[in-house]
Amino acid sequence: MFRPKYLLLLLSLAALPAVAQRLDEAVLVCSYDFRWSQDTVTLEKWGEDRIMLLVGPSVSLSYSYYTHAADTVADAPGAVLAATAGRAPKYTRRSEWYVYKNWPQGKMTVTENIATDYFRYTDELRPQRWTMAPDGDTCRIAGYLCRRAECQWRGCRWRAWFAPELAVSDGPWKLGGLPGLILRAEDERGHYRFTLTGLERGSGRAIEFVRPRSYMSGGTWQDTDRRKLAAARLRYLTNMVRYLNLRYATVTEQGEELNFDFLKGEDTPPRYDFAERDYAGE
Amino acid sequence: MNSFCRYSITLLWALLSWAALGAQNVELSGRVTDSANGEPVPGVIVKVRRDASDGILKFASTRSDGTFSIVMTRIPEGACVEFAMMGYAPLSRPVDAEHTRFEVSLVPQEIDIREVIVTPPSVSVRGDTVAYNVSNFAQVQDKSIGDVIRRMPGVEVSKSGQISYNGEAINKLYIEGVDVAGGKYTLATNNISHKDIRSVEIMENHQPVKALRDIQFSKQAAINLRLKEEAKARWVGNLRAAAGASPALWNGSLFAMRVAGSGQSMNTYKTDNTGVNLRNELSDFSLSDFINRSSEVTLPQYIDVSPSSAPGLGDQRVRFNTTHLLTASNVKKLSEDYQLSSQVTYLYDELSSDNSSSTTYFFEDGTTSVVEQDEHASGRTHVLSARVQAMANTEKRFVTNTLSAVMEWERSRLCTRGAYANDQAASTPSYKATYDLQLVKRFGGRSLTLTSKNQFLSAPQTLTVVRDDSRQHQFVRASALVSNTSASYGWAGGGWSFTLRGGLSAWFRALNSRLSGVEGYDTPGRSALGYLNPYLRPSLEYRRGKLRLRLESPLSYYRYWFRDRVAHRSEPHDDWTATPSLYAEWSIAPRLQLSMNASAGKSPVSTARLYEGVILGNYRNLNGGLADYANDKSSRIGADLRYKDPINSFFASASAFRTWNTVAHTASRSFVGDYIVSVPLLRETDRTGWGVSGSVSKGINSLYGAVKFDISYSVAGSSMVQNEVLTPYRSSVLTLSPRFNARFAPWCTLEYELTYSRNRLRVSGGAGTSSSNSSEQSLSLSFNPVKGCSLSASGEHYYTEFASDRGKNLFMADLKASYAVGKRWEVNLSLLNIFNKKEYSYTLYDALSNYFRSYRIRPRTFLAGVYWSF
Repeated sequence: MFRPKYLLLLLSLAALPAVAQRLDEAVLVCSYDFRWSQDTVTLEKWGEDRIMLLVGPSVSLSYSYYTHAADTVADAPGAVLAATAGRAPKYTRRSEWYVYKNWPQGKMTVTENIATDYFRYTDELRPQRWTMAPDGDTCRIAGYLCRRAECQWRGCRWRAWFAPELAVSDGPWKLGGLPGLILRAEDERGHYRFTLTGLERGSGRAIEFVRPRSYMSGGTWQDTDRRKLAAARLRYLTNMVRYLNLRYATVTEQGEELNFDFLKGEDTPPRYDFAERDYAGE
Repeated sequence: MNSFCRYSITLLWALLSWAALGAQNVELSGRVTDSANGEPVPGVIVKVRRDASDGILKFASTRSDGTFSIVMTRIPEGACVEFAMMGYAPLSRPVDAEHTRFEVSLVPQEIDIREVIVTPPSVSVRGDTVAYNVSNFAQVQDKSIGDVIRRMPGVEVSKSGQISYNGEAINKLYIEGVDVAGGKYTLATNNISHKDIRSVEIMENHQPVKALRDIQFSKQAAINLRLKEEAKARWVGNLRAAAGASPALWNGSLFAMRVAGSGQSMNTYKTDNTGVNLRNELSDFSLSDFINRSSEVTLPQYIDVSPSSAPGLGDQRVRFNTTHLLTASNVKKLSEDYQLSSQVTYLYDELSSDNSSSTTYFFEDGTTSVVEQDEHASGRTHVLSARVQAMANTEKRFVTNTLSAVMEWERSRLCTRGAYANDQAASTPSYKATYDLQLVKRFGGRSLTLTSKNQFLSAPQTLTVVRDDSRQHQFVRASALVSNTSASYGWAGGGWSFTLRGGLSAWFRALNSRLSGVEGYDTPGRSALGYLNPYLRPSLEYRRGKLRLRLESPLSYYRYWFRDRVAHRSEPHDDWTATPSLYAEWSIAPRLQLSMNASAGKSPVSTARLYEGVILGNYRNLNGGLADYANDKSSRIGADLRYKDPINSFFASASAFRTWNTVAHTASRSFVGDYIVSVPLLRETDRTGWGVSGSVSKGINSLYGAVKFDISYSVAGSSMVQNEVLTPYRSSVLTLSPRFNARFAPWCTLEYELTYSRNRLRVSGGAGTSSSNSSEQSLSLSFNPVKGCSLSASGEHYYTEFASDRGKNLFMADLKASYAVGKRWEVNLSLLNIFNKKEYSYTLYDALSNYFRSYRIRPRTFLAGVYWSF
């Protein structure tokens, strides 16, 4: 069923600049609801997101629907969007990662940003080592018979339900490596949860390497290391002011000396931990 | 044991373990190919199942070459290996100890899955915003949202109150989406309590005119304050009152704001005599100037007898004032797209100051002239302004009609003792009325903008100088009518965007002056000057991937008329000017960005000094005009390099520039009796300059702090005519500025800053080089021993050196404490200038002269106050 808002998004995606690098064609498109705890003490605050997974014969891509929509709308000049600019719903970015599995071959590439800086790093292709639950432990999700598996990975104990009937060894975000598509996954404490909400044939939809918004960071990434990036993100979330004031401190107005109050922000560490807890944080 | 024994034991052990392993482990391996083309298929799921039922024992995926291997401890009876991959038909083979190698070919098959339709999620209506939650940044001692905004990531607040984000001035401040402050956004940021604000949204690349979105790439941002629910639709605000001693001091303010769906209202009343400069709250950063890229038109100040103030020290150290400020702003939303706004402000500012000075004038023959004086000044200013605006803002068109008036009355008195003793009294009022129209209409992907700004300005000024033996009186009245109407058309596509602005500006000024009491300069002046200026401003921008380019080339034609009513002379003049400029930005590497800019051109005739006769500016300076048309030429190139590594908290930048100017007039200065007569000569002067600067900053995460270092060096060379001798000179400035801050414990933070500068002036021809060094440093410590309580101690040190063996040191120290009582009250105490320093001195360079000044500053002050928010 076509709703005008969806059509708008479709058109805007079609208007992606030609510089996007085409990696593969999706045979399967899935969407997941992603819920994660933003306060693990009171469990009252939750983040919500919609994660997409595009699976191609060779490469797969997982990203946040909202983030991608926000990025595309912001970057696409042109009449289609201009005409509705004042009225169209606008999107805010949520989860900021784009996970490309098996690209380059045998590895995973992840792009993420902290504020207006874009970063890229490579990770192992199948980082989780799953153990399957006994045979009888099954359930039905979205009409598919699913089996359960568990693993201990980077500081969290994960549980996943996969459907052997869907023969893709993949899942949302960085999860994968099971003999079937992961339809639901959560960490043992329930702080991170992925649940399938939709599953469609790919119909040739392109899997492209998404460039960051061109007016920020000149449209390029900085290569970095996963753990250092996580430590930097923790610093950013703890005291956004200190992190970013340092970054913009080097900019001055034409000749006039700016009154610039260095780093007076409060330290408010986030009340939750990251899903991968093995970084050298402070 | 001997080597044979060792050898055989090792062999036995190897045989046994090999046998054990061999007997136990089985490796299943093989290759999977596509039956249609024989290519290997990576990513195929290979499962070893216990039997035909579901039991998965082990699994793996084929590698990029289609091969796989699975090691099993044992293979149960009836086990099978299954190969499955979406897009192919699954295949199953039995497996046992003999059959462990598999070469299989999969047949492609239509994907047949039970679809669960992917629906788009519900969206929230929000702009391209970066929203910050106020509570994350608010600190105990913050009162207004302005204090909090100062600390927002990427936000900087300049001394004048202008807020910039990511280096670009913000172009609008909204409260719940409505611009109630009408450009005077300091009124809002200094007064709204952060407790009423839920979040501060920074809308990057904000285009305030809805019809221009996506057509003009706006590099500016806007800040939108979102209020907490409980702060809406009722009067919120705060009341501050403080009183103190030495002498009787007070500071009070009342701020009340009401934000509701139908409109917003913001009113303030403030009064102060502790040195706070309330004039900043009236600074107008307006939208029309942003669209036109023009600056505010003003008439030059011909008479200048205002109390001077010491640079370098904050306002609260040097201003001896009594100030009252009253503002009332209102916005009424007639509908979603139409609104009416009005604003009235009144400021009364009374200032006084005392200083003593020693001025040295350098001449090319090596002689100098030294003048020593004591001055006492006082002044009184009233500023009254009113503004009414009607605005329609839809995505198809944007119209604003604004009518405003600003009236300023200023009286000042300056008494001088010592050399050239005298008493001056001046009255320098100015009046301005403006009508501003802006219209933006959108056609599909294009837009048309029409702006028209029309103003009437008038400044009748008088000066009376009384000396022991004579009396001078100067009257000067300048009135001007200015109009600037333009239209611009823009379009964008494929990374290019082009804007063409064309318009007509007209300017007319009448200048009447009458001077009495100065021998030889008594003739009155009456002149009228006008011009018509049609112009074109094309601008082309290209943006693709790593590169961004912008080329602009404003072109103007001027037709001048000048009529000197006294000499009955009139002269028209034609002129063409062009000032092309190019800007390029290139991201060399993800962390490194280079930008370059170049511009050249001829600027229009300067009208400020275009008059006949001489005007007495103050008791000593006679400023002559030059009734001649001449243009300045200038060119500039510059480059900037920026490096950023946010992961390691390291940032560095370097920049350089070079300028070449040919100024059509050379300043000339002659000492005639008691007066300095400055007349521009129609003689070209070359002015060159260059400069480099660099900055490095590194965060020290273990100390929650950072260290920063800035350095800059610039050189300028020019010449001036002094007593009919052309005197070239060169001046250079070197500035070094390290900064450091850290948080040693959760309850203790420290900040340190040092600025050192060295000025050199070299007058060619033997007068030698004169140089002066000065430095300023400040250290502050703050403590938060208990929640809600904050204490801070800060110290400042100023050093100024005048002549190589004489220097002056000044130490200042302050203490502040505050304690929050409940959610709405706070008590605060402050003790400024603990050491009770009464004087501040420094050295200042000007073309061929050197001033040493000493100012009276505010002595020790103690203030106790309360703050209540409602």
